[in-house]
Amino acid sequence: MGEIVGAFGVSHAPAMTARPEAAPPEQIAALRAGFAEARDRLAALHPDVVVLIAAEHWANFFLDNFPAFCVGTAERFEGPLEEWLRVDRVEIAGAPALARAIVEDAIDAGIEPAWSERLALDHGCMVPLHFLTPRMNVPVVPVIQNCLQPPMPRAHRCYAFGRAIGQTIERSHERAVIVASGGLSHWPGHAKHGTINIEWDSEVLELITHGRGEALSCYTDAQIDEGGTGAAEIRNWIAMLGAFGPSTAEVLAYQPVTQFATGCAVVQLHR
Amino acid sequence: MSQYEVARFLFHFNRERSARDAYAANPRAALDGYDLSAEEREALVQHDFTALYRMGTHPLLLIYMANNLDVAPPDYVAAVRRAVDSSPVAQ
Repeated sequence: MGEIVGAFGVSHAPAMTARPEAAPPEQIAALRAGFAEARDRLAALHPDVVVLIAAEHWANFFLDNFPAFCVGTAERFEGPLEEWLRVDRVEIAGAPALARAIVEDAIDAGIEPAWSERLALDHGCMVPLHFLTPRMNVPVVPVIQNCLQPPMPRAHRCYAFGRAIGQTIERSHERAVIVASGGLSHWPGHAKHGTINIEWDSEVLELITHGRGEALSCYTDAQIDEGGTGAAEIRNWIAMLGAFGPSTAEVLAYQPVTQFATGCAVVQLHR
Repeated sequence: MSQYEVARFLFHFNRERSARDAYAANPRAALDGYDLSAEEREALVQHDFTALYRMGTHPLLLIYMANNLDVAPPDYVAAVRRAVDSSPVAQ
């Protein structure tokens, strides 16, 4: 029987790797400590695979064909796409059998995700992997949700998709860690770039910490938007919560970093 | 005006080193093959983030162009804020 042995929600603000020196030293130190703790805990779980629920940012999909969900079924992936990210380009093994099972089971559950045999991994995937599995030696199933261009899948649909993913893992023979990438509040590239909604972030962390993460699955698009255009990525955390099931959470780091223009978080779920 | 074509150029620019090299060599020629208005073409040639933001270009397409051109983040943010500050109804 397969098992989700761990689950982590992490921000992927590209400045964390591209220009960490821009942040106040105490903030970057706190974030690095949180990521290091998460990295060590993940390693100690000895997972067979990381299911990485992420957003992408015009890396693969364009306005001519935009999936709500896309599962990476390839045998390997390359990233990062961005030369400015300051993360070394690397090839990472995929997990095609599990990825295809996720697609098949989702279809049986009434959710039809797109799938792709070729996905370029951008900072949405590579920043979390850089911090959590720096040797890039754990096979990855990237699950890309549209958190970029409306109309986007609703929170409750992301939760349901996550639940289907969790059930697939449990039916497999894999020890999987789920990583949700993105958030928290940010308005990247906008005139409001740099604004952080600490209240919104606190509410989200409060819900997850105290076992009420399922409430996020009831968030409307408008409630999500209060955290900024980048807060759309909370959909990835919501899918993770659907997969992991009832849980509390431990905040390993939360830093609202103006220079990263993001409320940056590193969180582990616990059953 | 075709925001689709502006976005399509930026999508290629940010994804493909060959597109960035072509733009660096001759920005105007790099825009051949994209159905752009004169205003859009000029804004892209000049990487005028103020104008492009005002036109409604997706902000991530713009900020990644800025990153690829080594435009410092504060300069990019200042440019898009000018788009808002100078609009008839400031946000």
